[in-house]
Amino acid sequence: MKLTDRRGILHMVDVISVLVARDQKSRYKSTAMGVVWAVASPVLFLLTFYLMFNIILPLNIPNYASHLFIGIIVWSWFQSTTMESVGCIVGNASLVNQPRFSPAALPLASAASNLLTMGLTLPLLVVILASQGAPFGLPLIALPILVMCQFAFILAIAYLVAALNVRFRDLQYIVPILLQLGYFATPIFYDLAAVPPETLQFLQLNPMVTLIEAYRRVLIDGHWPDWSAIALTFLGSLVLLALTYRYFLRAGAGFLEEV
Amino acid sequence: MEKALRVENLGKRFRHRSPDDRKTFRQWVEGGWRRNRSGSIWALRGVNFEVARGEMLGVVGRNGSGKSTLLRLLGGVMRPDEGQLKVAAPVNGLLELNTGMHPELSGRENIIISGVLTGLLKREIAERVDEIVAFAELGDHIEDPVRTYSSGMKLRLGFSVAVHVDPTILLIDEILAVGDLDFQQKCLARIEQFKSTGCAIVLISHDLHQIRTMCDRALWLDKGRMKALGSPHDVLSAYEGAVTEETARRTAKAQADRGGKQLSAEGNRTGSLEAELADILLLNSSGVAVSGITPGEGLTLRMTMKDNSGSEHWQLSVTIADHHGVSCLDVNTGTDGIVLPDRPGQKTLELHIGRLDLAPGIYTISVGLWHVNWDYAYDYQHNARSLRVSGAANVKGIMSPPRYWQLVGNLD
Repeated sequence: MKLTDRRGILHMVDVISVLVARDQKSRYKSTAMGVVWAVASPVLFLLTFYLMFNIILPLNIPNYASHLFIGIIVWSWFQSTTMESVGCIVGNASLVNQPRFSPAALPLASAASNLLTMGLTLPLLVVILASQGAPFGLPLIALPILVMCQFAFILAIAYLVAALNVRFRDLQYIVPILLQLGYFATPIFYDLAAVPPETLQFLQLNPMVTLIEAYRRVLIDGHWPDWSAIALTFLGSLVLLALTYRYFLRAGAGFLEEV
Repeated sequence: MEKALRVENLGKRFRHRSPDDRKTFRQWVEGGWRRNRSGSIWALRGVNFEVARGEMLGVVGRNGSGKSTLLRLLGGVMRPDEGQLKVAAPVNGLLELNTGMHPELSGRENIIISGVLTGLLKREIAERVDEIVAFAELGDHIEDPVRTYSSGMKLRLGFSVAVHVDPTILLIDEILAVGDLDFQQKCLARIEQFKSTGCAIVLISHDLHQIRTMCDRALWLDKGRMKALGSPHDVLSAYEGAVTEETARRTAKAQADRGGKQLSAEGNRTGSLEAELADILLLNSSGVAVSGITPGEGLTLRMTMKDNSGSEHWQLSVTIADHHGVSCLDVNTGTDGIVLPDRPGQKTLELHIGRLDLAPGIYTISVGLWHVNWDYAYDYQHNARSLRVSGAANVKGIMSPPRYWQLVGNLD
């Protein structure tokens, strides 16, 4: 399908919206708790970590509930999309085989759907922030830019793992392990201030670190994010996305040749 | 005639991977930087044809002859390595039904999903939802989750969406011969209607009868090359001849392997013997092994298969013929839509015939164990068993249904 014609673009938008709606509806129809589950899962993590690192082993991080919750929901957008994307070509053979369907829609829809899931936790985030006296100032208008930047990064990774899994089928077992490592290499329940400078250099190579820090600066402190770091991350993500997207298109066509 | 689809010297090459090829990241790491030893094979080469608007082309060939590859190239989901493909309009596929449908969602919601994923805009499919619901004849069930549907209902839903896309060029992979007859007729009528409105259709099917009756031309692919292109009658006769030849060739080989015992290509048992019919038993309605029944009694055929080597998916056929060789009943697992396990193995399959209203006489039963696409027979036993239908020979013809005569009205 060419994306150059008007109908092609309209169709792509419809495909994404249908896939997102299917994902959301099915997710909440098959669980007894319905839409509450989208909020329940991060809340359970929040309670566990809060109990662990604010009461049992206090890390003394200011506004710990907000700090934690931002880390959890921002990370889980990345994690869920990556997990879903690994098997998206292999697991949707009949769609990949369908004329007039572009497999590139699959990771895109997954990223969009998980963004929506993150959006569902927004009211709770506002409540937590307000209870800890967050300023809610002008820097909030930077949020859409952070979301776009993260979207580009997530999509780049999603295309990469989806395409690689066509070639290396065991990637779907490796990715969860890497994500587990990433979870600890990202300041989700701890704070960067506690990290020794030598280690910090390495951690900051991870775009998710830059992003989570930026979200916290905007939401908790009411300051503008570190624009140069964000610009660099955004640009890097877009370049990576361009590369992995091309690789994905090639691997997608090759998938059908695996007889 | 205006051409909708033109294929020139089309070719597709696949990398042929060796079994020790590294398919996982782990193997790749363990194997170091050694390059994959891989050759390539042409799955399809030198294919030329045109399909005009309103024309239907049927493609036949055995498994692995390149039919699916051709369909994927035409559908644009695979790129050719050689040659050219020109299409006058976007290509639609009727390849797999229920594409993208989710079992938890209602039939109505799934219509929208499937419609969009197969190429329509949401607005376009929304306009047709009522028409599709009516076509599927699902009534109020349309609001129920698809997981509650029977397989027949799912099929009707899938087909109804698929035939409401108003295609200009349509690719069809095996029009499913399951579902009830009325609905099948409706779908075939719909496809005829596409043709009459100028849609170009390419149909892949193992059902030669379907190709013979529906298509304007036929293409026979063999090992990725064009073997014949022309009128369905000519192409299919040649193809069927090749199937018989293939069975004969494999029979000769199997015979040589077995020291010439029992089998003969001209005799009553033919096939490759990659799998065989080890035992065929006739049972009456109370499950007792018999050699004859009375008119109107039921009959069960118990067939036990044995796997020798190399057999794949399979089909079973049963034919009952009278002493003139006139076929009275000819059924098989394929057209009855029976889902069979992968290999015949040590399986026993029973065909239960509720009642057989045959006229008294001697009949013969032929049983065939076939390669899944009817490419050749594993084991075909012509006149494997005879069946005696007892009773007074008071009827001519082949049937003797329950009957009585009644005098109606006053004839005084």
